[in-house]
Amino acid sequence: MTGEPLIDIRDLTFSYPDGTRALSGLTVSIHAGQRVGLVGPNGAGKSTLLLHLGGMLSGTGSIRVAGSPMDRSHLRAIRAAVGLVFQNPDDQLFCPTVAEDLAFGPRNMKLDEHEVRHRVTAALAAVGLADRGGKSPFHLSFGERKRAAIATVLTMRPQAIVLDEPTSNLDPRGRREIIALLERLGGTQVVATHDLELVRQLCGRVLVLSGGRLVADGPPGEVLADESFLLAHGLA
Amino acid sequence: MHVPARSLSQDDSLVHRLDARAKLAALLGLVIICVSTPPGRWGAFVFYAVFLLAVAALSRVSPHHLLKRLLAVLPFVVLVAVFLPFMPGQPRVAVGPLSLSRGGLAMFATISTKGLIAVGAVVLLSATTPAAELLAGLARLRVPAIFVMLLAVTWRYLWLLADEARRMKRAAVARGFTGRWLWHARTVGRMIGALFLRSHQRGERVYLAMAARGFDGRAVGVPPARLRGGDLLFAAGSLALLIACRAVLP
Ligand SMILES: Nc1ncnc2c1ncn2[C@@H]1O[C@H](COP(=O)(O)OP(=O)(O)OP(=O)(O)O)[C@@H](O)[C@H]1O
Ligand SMILES: [Mg+2]
Repeated sequence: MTGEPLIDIRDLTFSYPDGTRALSGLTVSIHAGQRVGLVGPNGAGKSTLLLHLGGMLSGTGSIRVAGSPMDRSHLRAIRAAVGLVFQNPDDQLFCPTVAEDLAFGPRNMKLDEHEVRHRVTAALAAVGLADRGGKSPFHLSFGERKRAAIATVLTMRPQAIVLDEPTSNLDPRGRREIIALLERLGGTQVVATHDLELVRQLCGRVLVLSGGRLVADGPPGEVLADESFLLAHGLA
Repeated sequence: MHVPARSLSQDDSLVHRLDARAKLAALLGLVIICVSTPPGRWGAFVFYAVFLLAVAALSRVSPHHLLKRLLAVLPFVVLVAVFLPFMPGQPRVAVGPLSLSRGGLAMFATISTKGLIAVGAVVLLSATTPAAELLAGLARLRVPAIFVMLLAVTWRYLWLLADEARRMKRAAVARGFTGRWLWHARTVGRMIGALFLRSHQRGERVYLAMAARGFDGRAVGVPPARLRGGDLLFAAGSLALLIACRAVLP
């Protein structure tokens, strides 16, 4: 692929304060428009990597998003460019109504109220919750909350959406709805997941993390076909 | 989840290895003795401080660590006493442009000193004793099991709550929240509201899960454990010393 990557990670290494090495020497670049699956066993470092993309954690090495280095002066712009959707929707939703939660990001971006409302309506429709804007997030089903959480970053119109286990704990229909939603949304997406079927269905590229290292990077058709490789990294 | 296994301490020392009961007796003893010492007995207060510093030195917990905890609590102690010097009444002393009550000033000094020593003792206790041992120690000292259990549950869920609050804040920060300005108070208020609701719901779920495992409101005790000679010596020696000082020193 040509041109500058949207997300460029070089030699990223990170240890938690208690000494746990979660990422070691990771180098990956992701171009605009790619939908990338991020897989790996529990504790592989997927969530840790996603937190780095949102500038929530910072390890050694370099991360550039849309050409800007991840530093204090670019953090605001990068957080607007990378829409981070956390695994637990309850972490993301805290406002009295779903609509207000969707307005939270754009208001932080200092958009005018008219534009904010326009985006909220559009995002609610995009995730199939058009009639739920006035409800309390506490009264939504888990699947609806998962979709509402995705909508909270859609209103920011990010350049990339980064999702942590979007289909975990969902029933088969809820899962299908999320997959259809991601497919419909398009754009640049990074999806950390244990759902290999989702990766096969949606992603043109898959990254396999294991013990904080990148152990495979390629089309799912090839990477996920190797049974012994999957077994070796706890994926089968 | 993020409950630190060894509470605030990673180190090992003579003080760490003492039985929790011995430390509870000596350090809580110090708190009671110090707080009940009449104002103006500066000789005794100095001795309490020296005693505390000696135990702290023995424990080899980094002074930086202790100081940080102390400074976190101290403002609350000082806040209680800070208005005392402004009380009406004679005689008065002039400090710069202020006219302060001498009696109020003395009370301020006494309360701050007592607060400092008491908080210091508790900080040292928690820095050298894992939470689980402290709780077991309390139970073995015949503190009613239901109180110990309440403390244990509070400790466990405080960490869970802190963890939840941290993740919630992180999710907001990812959407451009900075939380620096006064008008962000509304957002913070909502987060606290959401946390409260969830804690309440969780409390009910936890209770159901406990009931499902046969909990009927009566907490179970901890198995007894024998005190070693060193523990007894430390507790008895410390208490005797402190009581003697409270009685004798000016
Ligand atoms: N706050 C933390 N403090 C210390 N270590 C942590 C913390 N969070 C994660 N880790 C450790 O970092 C490593 C990577 O964790 P991470 O959560 O990134 O894995 P993951 O790939 O997202 O796993 P899962 O599939 O279970 O979500 C693990 O070994 C984990 O124990
Ligand atoms: Mg994870």
